[in-house]
Amino acid sequence: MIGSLSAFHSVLFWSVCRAIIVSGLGVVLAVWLWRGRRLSERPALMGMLLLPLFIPDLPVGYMWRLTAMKLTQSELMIEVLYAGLLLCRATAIQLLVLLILPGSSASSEALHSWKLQPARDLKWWRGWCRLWIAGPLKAPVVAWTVGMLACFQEFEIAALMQVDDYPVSWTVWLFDAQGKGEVLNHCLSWMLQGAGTQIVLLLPLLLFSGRSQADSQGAESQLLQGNGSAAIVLPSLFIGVNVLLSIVRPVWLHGESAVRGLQLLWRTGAFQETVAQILHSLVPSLLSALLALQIARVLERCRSRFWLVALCPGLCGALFVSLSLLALFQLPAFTWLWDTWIPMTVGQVVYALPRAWLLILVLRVTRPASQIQSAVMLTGGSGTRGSQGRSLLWRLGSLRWLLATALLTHWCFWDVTVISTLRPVYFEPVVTRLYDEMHYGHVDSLMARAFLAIMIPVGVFALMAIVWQRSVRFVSGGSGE
Amino acid sequence: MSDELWKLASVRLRGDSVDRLADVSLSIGHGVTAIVGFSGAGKTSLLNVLAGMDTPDAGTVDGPLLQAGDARLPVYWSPQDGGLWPHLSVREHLEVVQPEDFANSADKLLADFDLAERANALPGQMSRGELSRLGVARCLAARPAVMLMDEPLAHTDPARRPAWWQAIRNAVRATECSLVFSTHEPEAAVAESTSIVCLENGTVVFKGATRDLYHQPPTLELGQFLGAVNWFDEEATAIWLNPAAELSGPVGLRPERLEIIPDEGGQFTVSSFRFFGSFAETTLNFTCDSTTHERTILTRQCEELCPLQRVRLNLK
Repeated sequence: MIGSLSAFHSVLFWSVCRAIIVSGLGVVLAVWLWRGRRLSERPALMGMLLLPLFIPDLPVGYMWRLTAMKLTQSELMIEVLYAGLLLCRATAIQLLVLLILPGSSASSEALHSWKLQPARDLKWWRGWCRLWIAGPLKAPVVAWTVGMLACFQEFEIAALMQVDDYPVSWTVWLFDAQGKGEVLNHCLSWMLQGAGTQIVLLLPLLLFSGRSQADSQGAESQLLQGNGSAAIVLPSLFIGVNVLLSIVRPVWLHGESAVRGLQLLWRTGAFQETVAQILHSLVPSLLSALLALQIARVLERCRSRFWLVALCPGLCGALFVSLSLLALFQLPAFTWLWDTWIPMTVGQVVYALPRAWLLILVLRVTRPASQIQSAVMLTGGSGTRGSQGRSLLWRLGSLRWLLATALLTHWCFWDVTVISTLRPVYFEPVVTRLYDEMHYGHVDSLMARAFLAIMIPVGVFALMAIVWQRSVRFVSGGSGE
Repeated sequence: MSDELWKLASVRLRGDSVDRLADVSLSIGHGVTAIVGFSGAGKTSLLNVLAGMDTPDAGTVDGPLLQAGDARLPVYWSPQDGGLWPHLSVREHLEVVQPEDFANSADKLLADFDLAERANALPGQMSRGELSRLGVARCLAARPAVMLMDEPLAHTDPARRPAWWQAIRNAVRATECSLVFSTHEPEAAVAESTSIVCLENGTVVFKGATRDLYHQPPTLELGQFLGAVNWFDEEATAIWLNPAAELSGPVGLRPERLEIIPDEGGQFTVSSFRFFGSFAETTLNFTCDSTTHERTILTRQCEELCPLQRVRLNLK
């Protein structure tokens, strides 16, 4: 235990350092990508910049596993590769955070007004620092904190890329220890140290979030304002790198294998079984996503900020949630619930809650209520106008909620940690099967399964969107959008 | 048809720290109603409740109470932020909301609100003033039974504003609809509305005819909702207005009701004079029984007065 403890501490230290450095680089990149670009008014560009959030971690980790295996002679290169993948994800999350944060309460004019004061004494400098903390620095620091948490909690990519203990990751270390049968109390003790570290990482967020009450119409942070000198190059480069890393390279390397695998599954009759398993796995994820969104809606409407503590367990990551609930459901009072759907569902809801809250804020910020109400009022009209109102309402409201549900379901569906720790024994979700098989090399059927696991949920939600839109048109008398 | 459009009873709308609307009981009739109040008084909150966007935490809202069989859209609005749809062009905004039997009204509205050259622009490409005009034009295009406008034509060029108000006035007259609008501008409230609702800290402090509030304000505070007012309490009336007019008791007089006339035999002395374009501010002194009284009078006069000049006060 003592030897393990020392090993755990060095792993934890390494993970913290990586999270700080990567998220620091990420926030610089996110601020540069954001500058003067009004992303909330340009959904297509925003969607492209946020691409890493839509690509599941598990396939990404697997795709880069083979590359990592070729780099075993250089541990540094594995670390750099892993950090690069993390940087893409952290930057996307940080962009999302910048999108939802309210405007700075200190405008450029406010800063200049302060500078006009002649005396540059200690009081002046103290006021200057406070002004920056409440103003231009606020959004980047909050984004940095959220990026740090995301990097620190990352598990799937590290687990699949890991070759000879590299890249070093506390989540993988703890997950493996628990999987190898380490006593739960030891795992919980390490997990609590990890959670404590995350609370320390959260401190800047807690300190900065309470500094000002600027509303979303407030002045844009000075750091986020900018001219268009890098308006084309940097976003294009970021989007290009992401498309290359997340789509082009995997398809180039493994597309043929996936096609062969699909043919194999079809010939051997395993295709239907795989599709059924994926659909079966999708149902609890969808249920958890819907529950998390509803709870987040209630939290978002609560006037007291105190209720936001409900987000804290989820903010500490999937591993924290999984091991805490594992311990809880082993208590005598709750053992009767073990091996049912409840632990997994509760775990996914708790894990997804901060993300659901983030999505609701994004929905609110990017589409003010007055736009929705303007469409709602039209639905009171007859004929074409009423159907136009319903079509607008579908586009501005329902479709966006469906997309949010799809994204949250996608995150729940691809989360290995919660599912594999808390699932009932009789349920084998496709993601745990993929995770297990991905450790044992590259086979065509595995590629085909991974491809189907990505595409089928997308297809299901696309179908839901089409059916929903058609029903809106049908209700509107066939003269919709 | 009921005389009332909306009936609000004990409506309460909670805010983060204070109530946005506190125990509002109010009836709003047909015609043109202005909602006035200082910033944070609850104008937008009241309009949002009428529009159905905000649901009161307590109380009831009945309305809009329209004639049975009225086929028009019951209510449409122009919210403060425009509530415009980012994926639709200016022209599409008007075409989407216009009724089928008025399918060609978009061109006229684009011309009326000087938006013809921006017909294909998206909201993200427009200035705040253009967005404000588009919000109003869209509301008119919908030809509803009741229009709600939250600070219409805000951020627009003051020189062109009368023409755009004329377009609103014409539309109200042509479609026989009602209009409820909030404004910070006393001139707009006086010129456009027949009824007025004054709000302060989320409560209704006055409800009645706009002309009554303008010409006979019950208090100085209420009078100031519709612009500058000279307020004379009983003592001031006796000193400054009598015997020029046979008035008694507290009275509020608008600047155009008073005139300061140079008169060598006048009982008042000019202390200072400042001209602001649309009105002038003159401080007068009056000495009686070795007591000197001083008072600032607002008038519409352009003629400059000099310090120590003797004048008299004339009530028009």
